[in-house]
Amino acid sequence: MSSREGRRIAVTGDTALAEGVAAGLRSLGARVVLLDAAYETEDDVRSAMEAARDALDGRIDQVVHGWVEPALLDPHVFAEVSEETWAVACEHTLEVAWWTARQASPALKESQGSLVFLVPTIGMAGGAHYAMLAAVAEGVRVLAKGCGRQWGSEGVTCNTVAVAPHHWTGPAAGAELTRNITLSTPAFGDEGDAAGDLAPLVALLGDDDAHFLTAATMVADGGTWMGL
Amino acid sequence: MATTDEDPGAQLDTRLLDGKTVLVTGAGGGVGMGIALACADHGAAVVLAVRRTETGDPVAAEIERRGGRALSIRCDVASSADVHAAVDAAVDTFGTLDVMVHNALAPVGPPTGIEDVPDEIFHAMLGTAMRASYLCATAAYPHLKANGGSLILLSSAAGIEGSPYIPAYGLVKAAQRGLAKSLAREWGPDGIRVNCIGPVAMTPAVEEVAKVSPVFTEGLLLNRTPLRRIGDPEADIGPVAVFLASDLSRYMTGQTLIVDGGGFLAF
Repeated sequence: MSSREGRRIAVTGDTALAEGVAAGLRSLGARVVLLDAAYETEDDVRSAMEAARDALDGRIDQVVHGWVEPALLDPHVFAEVSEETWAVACEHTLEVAWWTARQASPALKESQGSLVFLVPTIGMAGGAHYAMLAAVAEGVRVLAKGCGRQWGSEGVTCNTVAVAPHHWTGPAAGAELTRNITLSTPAFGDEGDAAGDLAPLVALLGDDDAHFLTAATMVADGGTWMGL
Repeated sequence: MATTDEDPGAQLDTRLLDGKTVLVTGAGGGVGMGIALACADHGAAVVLAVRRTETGDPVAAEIERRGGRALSIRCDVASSADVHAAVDAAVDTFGTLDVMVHNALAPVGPPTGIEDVPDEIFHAMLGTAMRASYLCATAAYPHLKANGGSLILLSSAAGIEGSPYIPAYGLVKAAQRGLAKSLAREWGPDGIRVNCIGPVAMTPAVEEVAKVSPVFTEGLLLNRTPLRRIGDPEADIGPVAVFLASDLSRYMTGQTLIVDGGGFLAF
């Protein structure tokens, strides 16, 4: 755990969500590296994590994982999904989350840091035509619980921030997915901004004040899905 | 296999699955076998998709001994050709496929830290839980759509609360739940229901754990189970699968029924 000023954070993913969260964390005073990885093998993730650690002067306090295979961000009629697409999009994205947790582990155990997974709420609520993304989201969310259970005694926390599907699928598809899971509009009126609304929550999960919180799911969708 | 006297499902006069065909993967033992026997007792023709027919054939024989209809077929659930062949065999033999139950899972391995899980264990779980769920769902889809059918995925409470011992198991069982909820939304307009069961039952795998770690099965597991026993695959889990396969649950989709004696109580 560390203060926000100067906290060293590695962020995976090259989506607008990941970049927005990274920008928001920087504005809070953190040093942030976006992982530069091919994400094809576990060695890719290991090398990228080591490079991020070097770039952050030998220490990583927080890892934020939001990488997904780009094909997951498009709608798919499930009955027409090819086996190759399933393998590349769904299974590989689960595999990369698994690798990221494993490769983040040494640095986070050294710093007694925190791992945060970003997922869309449709993992918990379901999403027509986004079944692969939802499967990944729920798998990753429960992976966080397994990590939280296993690493707590070593001072490492692992939590999930579940956000509106808009941040993954774009506004039109996000609005349609949201209409399917709620009878009302978001309590705060919209799905939020990655830098201004989501990054502070990610930062909070790395604060000393959050040291007793692990394996939890923080739903940060502006008050839309309230199934927990 | 439970005796008829012990099986509450078999005591019902009404046969809930008359005229239906149910395909169960991993039906050569444990929960899959229990579900297959319970469905057959309720009148379903049952296709037992098993990795080795040496395990499926005796279950088929037992179903026939009880007066039911069954087909045992070899099936690697991670193989597209095998899963499609099993679905085709169901339709060719019994004329239809109404219910697909995906239960099979590769061995989860011993309790291990996430960093130390062997790649082959992780990928076998991905293959038998995730690839197979995709294959079972898509192969069965046209038949389920034609019949207003039901897809049932065997998940676990670990897919909700995570697993402290076998983290990859929690991951794949959760991913199956996310898939099931989404397919429930996508296929509901087609008249297809998609649900999960999270069972705890005395299967061969749990028996193995009991031998190695009675502290776990007789201590930790039973201590958190209000009903103070580990379920029977046929008598305790089977009837829940019958319910989800039958028209009794026709307005239920996207749900996970935890059938574990009350061990895991979610909000």
